[in-house]
Amino acid sequence: MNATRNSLPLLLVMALVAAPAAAQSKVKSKPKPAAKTEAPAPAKATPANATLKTVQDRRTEGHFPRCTLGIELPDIPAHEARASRVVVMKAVDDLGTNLVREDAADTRLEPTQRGSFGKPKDGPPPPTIVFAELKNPPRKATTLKEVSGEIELYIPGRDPNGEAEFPKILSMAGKPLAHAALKENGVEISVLSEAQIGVERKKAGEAERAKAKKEGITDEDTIRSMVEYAVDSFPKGGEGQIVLRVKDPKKAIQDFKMADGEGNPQFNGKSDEAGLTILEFWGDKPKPDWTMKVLMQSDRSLVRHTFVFRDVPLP
Amino acid sequence: MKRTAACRVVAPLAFVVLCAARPAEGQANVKVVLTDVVDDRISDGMGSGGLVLMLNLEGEGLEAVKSARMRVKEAKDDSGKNLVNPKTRPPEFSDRNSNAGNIQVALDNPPRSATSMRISGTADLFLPGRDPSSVVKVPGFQARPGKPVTSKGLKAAKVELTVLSKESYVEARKKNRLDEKKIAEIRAEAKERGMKDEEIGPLIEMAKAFDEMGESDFPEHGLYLQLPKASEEKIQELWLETPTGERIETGGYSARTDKDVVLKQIDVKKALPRDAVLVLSLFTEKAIVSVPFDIKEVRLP
Repeated sequence: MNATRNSLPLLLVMALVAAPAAAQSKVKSKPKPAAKTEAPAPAKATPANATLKTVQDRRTEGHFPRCTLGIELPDIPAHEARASRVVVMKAVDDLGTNLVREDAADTRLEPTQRGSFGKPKDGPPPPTIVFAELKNPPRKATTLKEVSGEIELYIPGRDPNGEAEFPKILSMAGKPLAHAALKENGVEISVLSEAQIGVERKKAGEAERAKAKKEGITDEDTIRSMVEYAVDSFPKGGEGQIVLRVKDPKKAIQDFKMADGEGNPQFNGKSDEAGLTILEFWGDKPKPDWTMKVLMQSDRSLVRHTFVFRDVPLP
Repeated sequence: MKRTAACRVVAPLAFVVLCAARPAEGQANVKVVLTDVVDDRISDGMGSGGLVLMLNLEGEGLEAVKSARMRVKEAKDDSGKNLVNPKTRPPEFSDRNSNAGNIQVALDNPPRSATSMRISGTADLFLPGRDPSSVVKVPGFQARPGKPVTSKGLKAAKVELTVLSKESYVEARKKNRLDEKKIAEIRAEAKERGMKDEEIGPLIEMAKAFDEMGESDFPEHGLYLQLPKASEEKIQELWLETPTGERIETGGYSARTDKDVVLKQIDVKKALPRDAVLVLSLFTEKAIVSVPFDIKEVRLP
C-alpha cells in the first residue's frame, strides 16, 4: 500500500514544479529571424515580444538530460494559447558547442500547461510561457552565446471558425453534430448512442469472423475466441466514455475540451480505437449539463513568431 | 520427566528466538552504492533545483530489509563547498520495493565550476525480524470509534491513532479543505519565492484542483483513521487481518496531512468484520541496523 500524501507544502511544491515561470526577467529578445534548420510550417513568422524567464540545465547521465528555456510571451494571455511548439534552429554556447537537439525539427504542437486551466476567475490572466529544449551545454560553458528559432502557437480564438461548442453534449448522442465551424473545416462528428455502439460492436465481431474465414481458419473454438476478443476490445461506451465517429480529412482537429455546467475544465484522455475517437473520463463522469468544445487548427489560428536570445548566463 | 517437559517448552522457544535473530545475522557485506546523479540547475528566482544522488544498497541478506533511509553526515564538492542544506527535512524511510530500492538524497547544487563531490553518512536498514515488538497487532480496534485506540504495543511505541466513522472522517476532511486562510498562506509563500501575481493565479487554481481530488471518493467499506503526524512517521506499514491471521484484502489507500494531523483512508473490499485485527509494522530502534558509507569520488555530470 502506497500512501498519497497531499499536504499543503507538497501541493505548493507540485504546483511550483509545474509552473517554472517565476524567475526574474533576464533577457529581452532581440527579434532577428534565423534559419539553420527547417522552419515548422510555411506561414509567415513575425518577431516575438518574448522574455527569457528561466533556464533549467538538468544534467545527468541517466534519464532525461536536457537544457530547457522558459520563454514568456507577455502579449498573449495563457488561456488563449492552447498549444505550442518551439523549434530551436540555432543554439551555441561560449565554447562553440552546437546545442541543437537532433530531433529539434520534429517537435510537435503540444497543449500548453497554463492554457489547460482556462481563464482565471479572478485577477489578470497570466501570460503564455513556452519551452525550448536544447542539449546540455558542457559543465565548463558559462553562457549561451545565441539561441534562436521559431515559436508556433495555436490560438483558436483568432479564427472565428477555430472552435465549435456543443452544450449538453450527452443529449446529442445518436446524431451528427451541426456547427458552421465544423463545416468550414470539413469536419464531421457524431456522438454514438449506446445502441449505436452495440451495433458497431456486433459489426466488429462479424468482421472478425469474416476475416478468420478468409484466412482459412476453420476451428470454430478459435474463431469464437477471436470474435469474443474483437468484441471485448471494442469501445464499450458507458458513463465514463464518450464515443465519437470523426471524419477530419484536413486533420484540423487539435483537441476536444470538456467543461462542466459551470464552465470548469474537465480533463479527459483521448484515444482512437476501431476507427472511433474515445474520450475517457477517470474522475467525474460526464453529466447532462457538460459542454464539449472542438478546437480546430487553421492558418488563422496558428500564429508563428521568431525569437533570438544572446549571452544568456548558464545556471 | 520434568527435564523432558522443560525441553519440550524450551526447544520451540529457542527455535523461535533463533528465527527472530537470523535476519540480523543474515546481512553481510552491505554497502551503499551510487546509481545516478542529477544536477538540476535552475536560474535564479525559483530555487527548486538541486543535486540529487540516487543511492542503493548492495550485499547479502537484503531481502530481509523492508525499508531504508540515508542520513547524510557530510557532502562537499571539490572546491570544499558544503552541499548539505540545513533546511532539508529529516530523511524518511523508503520501501525497498519502490523505485527499485533507490533512495534519493537531495543536496544543494555545486557550482558549475565543480567537477566532483564526496558524500558520507549512514544508511539505516529496517529489519522487522530483529525486533518482535516492531509488529503490533490490535484486536478490537473498532470498539471505540472517535477515541484513541488502546493497545499496549502502540503505547510502548508511543503511537496514537483513532478510528473514525465515515461521517466523522468526511467532516474532518472538510475542515482540512483549502480555505481562504490556506490560500493566503500559499499566496504569501509564493510571493516570498519571488512569484508575480499573474503567476500565482494559476498556482492557486492548481492547488484548488489538487484539493478537489478524491473529495468525493470515500469508499463504502473503508477504514478511516486519524493520527498525529509523529505517530504516522513511526509506521512502516499497516494492514488488516482476520483473528486467525489471514490478510483481509484492501484496495488503495490515501492520506492527507495538514500540519500535525494525518487523515488516512483505506479501501476495504468487503464490510470489515467486527473482529478484524489491525496490524502495524513499526520503526523501532531494535529493528534498525546502521551502515556507514563514504563515497569519495562522485563525478558531477
